[in-house]
Amino acid sequence: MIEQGCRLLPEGTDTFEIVDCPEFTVVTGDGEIYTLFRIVRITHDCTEAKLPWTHLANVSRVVDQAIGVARLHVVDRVIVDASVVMALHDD
Amino acid sequence: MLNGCVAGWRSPEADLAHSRLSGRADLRILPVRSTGVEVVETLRSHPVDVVLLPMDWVDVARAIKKDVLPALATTPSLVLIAHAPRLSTRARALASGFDGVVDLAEDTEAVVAALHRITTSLTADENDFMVSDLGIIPDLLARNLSLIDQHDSEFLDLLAIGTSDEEIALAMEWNVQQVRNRVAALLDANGLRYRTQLAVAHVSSARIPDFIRPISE
Repeated sequence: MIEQGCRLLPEGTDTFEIVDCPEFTVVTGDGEIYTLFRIVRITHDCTEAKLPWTHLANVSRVVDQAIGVARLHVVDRVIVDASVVMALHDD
Repeated sequence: MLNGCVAGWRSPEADLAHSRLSGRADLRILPVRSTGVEVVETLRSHPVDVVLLPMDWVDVARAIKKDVLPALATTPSLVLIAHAPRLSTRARALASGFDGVVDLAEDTEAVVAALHRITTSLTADENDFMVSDLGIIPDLLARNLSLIDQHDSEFLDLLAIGTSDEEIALAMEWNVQQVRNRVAALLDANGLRYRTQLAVAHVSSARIPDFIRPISE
């Protein structure tokens, strides 16, 4: 899911350098299903202005643990929107 | 011998259930109670195995389930009485804390058999395949929500009147990420799946003072 316009960040990048809270929730199911994720590491920042997200991150799902990759839209250190592609799931 | 209490006010279902179940050797049916307080006083003063209530008493039933039954030495079953109940009726009954539904369109022997089955069996309507397919959470509307901190009461008040995450964030002076995370945490803490379930469970949490008055008063 590496996107054009995204830059790989150093492995030592601290999540708290970019966001205030490493936990975020993705809302799906017509606004009914709230799934909580925790950022493991923010891997890329995306400088391309036309992209609707600002960072890529490795994430884990807090309930029913699984790992995935997230596109994050960070504004003023707050994740205002996100989408996640799970790498492992039970489906 | 099953001890039963029928509740209803000008209720054709209550009157029908009472007339059909009275005088049987295997049932002892008390006179129809016409107010919620009468039902509560009956439960506190008589041995009752089953309470039969019509659909328009569903709010009374969930209040009894939540606030009265936990204080009783023995817990009666709450049974919805309805004429040919639809799937939606049975689903709402299950979510409201009823232990089962009896169909008054059936003959009296079938109704009595259903009452015995509901009061003696661990299986409830939640095991009805069509109701369970709806994802109904039993007692959803007859429970007290688990809260995480002192902000949650205000938070849920806003959520339960239909405000969006963004509007709640504005009112609470939180950011939208905090709001969404709190919704997710409250759903998980209460075993719920959907945001709407959280809202209706909170709306249903209002308590009826007459029902929570201690027995000694």
